[in-house]
Amino acid sequence: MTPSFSEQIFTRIRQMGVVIGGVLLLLLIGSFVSGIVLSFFYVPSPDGVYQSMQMIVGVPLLSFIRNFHYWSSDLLVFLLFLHMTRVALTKPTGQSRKYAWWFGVVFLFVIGIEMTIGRFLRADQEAYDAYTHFFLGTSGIVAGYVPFAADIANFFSHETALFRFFILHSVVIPVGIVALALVHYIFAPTFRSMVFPMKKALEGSSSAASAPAPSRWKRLLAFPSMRNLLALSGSVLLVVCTLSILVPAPFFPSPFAGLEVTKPSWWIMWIVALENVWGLMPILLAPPVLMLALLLVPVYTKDRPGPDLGTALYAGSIAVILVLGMWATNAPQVAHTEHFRAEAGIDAHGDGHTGH
Amino acid sequence: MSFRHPFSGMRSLSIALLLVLGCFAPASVLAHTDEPVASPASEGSAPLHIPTQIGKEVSPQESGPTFGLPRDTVFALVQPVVKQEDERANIRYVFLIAALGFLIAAYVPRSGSEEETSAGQGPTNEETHTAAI
Repeated sequence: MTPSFSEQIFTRIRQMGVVIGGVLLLLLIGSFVSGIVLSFFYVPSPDGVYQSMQMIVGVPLLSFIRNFHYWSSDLLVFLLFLHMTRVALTKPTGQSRKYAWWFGVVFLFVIGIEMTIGRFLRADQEAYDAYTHFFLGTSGIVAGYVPFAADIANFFSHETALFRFFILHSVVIPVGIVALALVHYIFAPTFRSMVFPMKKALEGSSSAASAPAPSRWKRLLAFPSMRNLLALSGSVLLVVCTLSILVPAPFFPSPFAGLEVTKPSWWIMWIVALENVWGLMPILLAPPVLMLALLLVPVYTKDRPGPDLGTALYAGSIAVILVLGMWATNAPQVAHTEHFRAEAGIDAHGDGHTGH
Repeated sequence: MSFRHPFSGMRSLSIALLLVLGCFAPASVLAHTDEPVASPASEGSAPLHIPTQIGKEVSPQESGPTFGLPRDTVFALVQPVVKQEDERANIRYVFLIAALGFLIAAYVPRSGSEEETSAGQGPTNEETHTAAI
């Protein structure tokens, strides 16, 4: 019996869903390469950074590379959501899939930290707003509970802060991302079940001497999953290039001290919704709570047909991110850091009491 | 012993390089020049304050035209870009919800379907995955 049209579509989606993890690797490489190129033109010092950013956005080729850097990381987060959903729907049970899920969740949060620090480096008003959140969060809230938090905030302030963030963004965290990705791929059964047969086929055919062996590419392309991976990777690369040409990455004016007038990226907007209600505290509590919820998904997932607590936990987490994110996106902008300063009596320079 | 030409992989590599250049070269011509929104700070010689603004060493005099501007003035200056980013964020949410919807629909069993490929019906382990691959 021929499958219906919708069934063919859904089968195709499932086949493509399996290879999203491979496309994430492509986007990661794209972000790394474009980041390396940008770092040759970026000046991580307070006096020269905004001018260097203006130069980067003013030169068409550099502007394109910056847009490529922005859109490939943006699409990386987008596809990470889809990848996680696919894994959650197919149940992260069994030892290796559980470990792959846990390393994947840590990977997601490290990517979030990397992208947040990337926003600091933009050196515009949004960068300043993001940095103010970090600084007030660590020095104004966390330092009250954790003794060395003030030292961390101090380490990432003053003249050298930008350079230190730059080293974090371009060296330290990328090394961590590569390590996490490697461990994740080692544990991911989908990756193993894709790679091992291909490796075996390549090795097996090369030793055959009787008939002329097909080329390595032909042997690789004999695998439907490889064809799907190439097709999806090509499509995603095309989308990133098109967006990089048509939709420039945002760039705000040079920062105005003591003000908060922008909103962050879409994927972090759900925290802004919580900030709109409870002030700065949720930026410290919400990410760990989400991370814990996602880490618990395999614990409550059962290796049997039917939805379970793990599936519900994942669906609930994603629903919260989407609903709160959309609400905050369409809500008026709220100056959380300005309100925090006013309540704490901190002036625009971070010390002293303004008396208002 | 089979002899493998040392440049056997070069053809694929050069094709890949050409493809990358093929993407980048026209892009460099077509790409937008992203002029930032005009601001007093970008015209003057005011230094960037990211690390120091919250810190202790910058005085209002040093921070020049970026300091002490009325909030409404700055807000009005930045709002067009914020609004534009909000619109783009909404588009992303719509795309993400649609993509998640398709993904969920693909894995949830339809009535009468014999295939076991959903959160409701499986697959629950890597063997089923291998079948999809």
